[in-house]
Amino acid sequence: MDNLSQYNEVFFEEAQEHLETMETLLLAYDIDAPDMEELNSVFRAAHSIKGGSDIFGFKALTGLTHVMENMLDSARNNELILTTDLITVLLETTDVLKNILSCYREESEIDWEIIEASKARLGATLQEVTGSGERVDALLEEDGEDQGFGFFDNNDDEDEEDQGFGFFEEDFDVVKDSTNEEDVGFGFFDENIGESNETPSEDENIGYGFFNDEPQVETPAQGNIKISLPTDQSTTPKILANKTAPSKTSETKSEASSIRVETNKIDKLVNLVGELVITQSMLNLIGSEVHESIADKMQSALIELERNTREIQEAVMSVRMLPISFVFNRFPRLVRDLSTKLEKKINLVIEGGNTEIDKNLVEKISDPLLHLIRNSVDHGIEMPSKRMEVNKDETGIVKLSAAQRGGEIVITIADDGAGLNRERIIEKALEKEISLPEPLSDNAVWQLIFEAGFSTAAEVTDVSGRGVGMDVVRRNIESLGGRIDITSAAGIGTVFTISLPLTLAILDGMTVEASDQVFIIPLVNIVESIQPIAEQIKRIKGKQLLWVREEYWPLIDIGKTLGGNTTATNLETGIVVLVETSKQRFGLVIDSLLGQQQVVIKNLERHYRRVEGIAGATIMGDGSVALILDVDSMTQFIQLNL
Amino acid sequence: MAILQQGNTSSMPAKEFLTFVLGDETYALDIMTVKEIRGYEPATKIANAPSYIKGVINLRGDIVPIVDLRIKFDIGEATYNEWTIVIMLNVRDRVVGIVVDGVSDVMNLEAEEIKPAPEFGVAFDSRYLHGLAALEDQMVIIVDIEELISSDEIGVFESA
Repeated sequence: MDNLSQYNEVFFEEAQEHLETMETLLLAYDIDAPDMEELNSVFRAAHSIKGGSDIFGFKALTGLTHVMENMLDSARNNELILTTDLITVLLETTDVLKNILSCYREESEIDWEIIEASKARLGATLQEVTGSGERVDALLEEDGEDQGFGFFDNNDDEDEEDQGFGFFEEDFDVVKDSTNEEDVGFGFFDENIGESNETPSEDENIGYGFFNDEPQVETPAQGNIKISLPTDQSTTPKILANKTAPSKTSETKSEASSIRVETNKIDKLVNLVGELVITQSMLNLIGSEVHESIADKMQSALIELERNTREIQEAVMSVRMLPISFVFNRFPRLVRDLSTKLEKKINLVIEGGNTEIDKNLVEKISDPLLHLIRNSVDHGIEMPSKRMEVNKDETGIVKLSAAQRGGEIVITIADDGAGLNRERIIEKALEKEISLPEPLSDNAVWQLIFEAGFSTAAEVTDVSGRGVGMDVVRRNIESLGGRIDITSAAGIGTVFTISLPLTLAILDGMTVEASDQVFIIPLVNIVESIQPIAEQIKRIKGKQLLWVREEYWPLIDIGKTLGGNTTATNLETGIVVLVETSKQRFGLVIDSLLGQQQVVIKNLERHYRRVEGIAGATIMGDGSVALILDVDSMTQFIQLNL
Repeated sequence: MAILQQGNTSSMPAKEFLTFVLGDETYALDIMTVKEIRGYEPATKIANAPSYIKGVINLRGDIVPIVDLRIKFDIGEATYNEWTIVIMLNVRDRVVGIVVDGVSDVMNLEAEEIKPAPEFGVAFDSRYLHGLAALEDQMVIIVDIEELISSDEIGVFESA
């Protein structure tokens, strides 16, 4: 087992992927027009998990997936029609499987009761649907080894209900006899058309009417045809199976063309490329000073190097990018569950799932999106009855879309619900003693819902309404360097727009100088930069404030708080950068502005420790290190200063 | 290290130590922790850091802190010129640079050559010492550099 345990991680990841595939496909499953190919994929996923877990000895997974697999198998053989209830049960089973998987992963105790309960549930639902106790027992029976095939054998012997296979062969013979053609399927149909013209009214089932006319067909065969519906369907999977063969091979091909790489290897690569870019720009500087005969050669080589470096950088960065569907795919399930719970009818539309986004962002954007979608489902979309009243379609639409615009990823969550209620928000804000902004524009009112402790839901449901969500959403998004905007119209709906930087590794910043050291202020925080005049500088308790735009701005002297200066910068010769965070606005006193540039963010905590007021560091073109300010956490310096 | 001190030296190969100078004293550290030795370059200062933390530098894309042991232990003179040496150390999966007066030699020491350190007389707390050794007629203080750098006293690492 020890030899195997090194592969455990691979199994966990694959099983996780298989479970996600199952969930996605089950959600997309259309009961009225079942797609056999999809059902086959679900079955294959279940089968892979079963096989894998058996090898690695994760018995809890094996047992449960086995029951599930059998159920899916009967479904794809059309012995079982999947109903909404059945799909719900199957989805719940995937949840249980996910739990078991993470139990194994964390090596924690496995709750066998849940597994047994889940098995029993599968069985019970199955029994309800099929009404056949025998079948259920067969499904639930756990054989450890090769149940899949054992089950088939059973079927062959039973011979009463499962004409599928026994009959199928006969059917084949019959057809062959009648047409004597190799291309059985099509020959059969062609002839059928011709002959069915003659006997159109004789039998409702035209296709099989043909059989009746056929002289060679014997009575027992006809008997089979009478119960013809299952046959009709059992041919379908057979044909489909043939069709799927090529697509299956293409799937395997795409699997082989990708490999799993640990993220830290990629991070290292990204770091090294960043370093390469710096070395390259240093070389460029040196190269421009060369005046000898080699100058020309040197220049062209340097240009070549520059182009190659840029291409390497782009290629490496693209390795870190993942389609945003990694996040989006979790939501159809959520919406389905929530709408069932809330008895609302909701259609989730997803667009732009292919938009690529930095891997680190993918993980961090998931929670805020979850909150927002919950919010749209719970508060946005009205109850079906209410929607009917206002002449809207009974089914509400929540649209989740992503697109790249310039250097940003824009994610929108739009619902066609009631829209935000301006009066109620203001009322609530007053009740919670949240100060109202001036002027009270719609936009300013909408922003109020992001205040801590704000929630307009009349009562707290387990879906949302605890009022912890929205302020966390905004904080999370801002910590990713993004921002969130709301537009809303009463009766028409609400749109949340999230703008995020393409990658976490790069930041648009203003480089500034204070106490002979270079700092970077994130551009998103900057309101404006001014050179204060004497009249604007006010003093309270010996501390300086700046009077700009009818507002007092507290000041933080960067040179003193971060640069190690002992004396304060002279305000009248310095520059004040006015910045804004979600909590507060203030001014940063610096010596001079150097310029605006994109910088690669490096973690300071990798080799050192967290520093208050500093978000990270970056390497400048000359190879030196500059610190990036964490404007959000700098507010604490104000309190210390005042 | 514990095994070494138990004196099972016959089968144990000698360990290599890098000796360096702080003030008048010669110190040694396990050469396996040394990543590289380089000249001092000005570091970017870090807010609210103790004076012996000179700041951070760019070591091929990594932002690495620099600790001046001369300031920390108040030995030698903290001058910075072209001969000032920084030893880049790999400690507990992190990289930290230490500024010393000079690097002198690499020496082989058998475990039995390392004598227990006295409780006093050196700048370092005895917690961070492996012991003393004699190199010709000079005394070499063997530092447990991993323990020292990751200690709260230096404060480079987040205290647990």
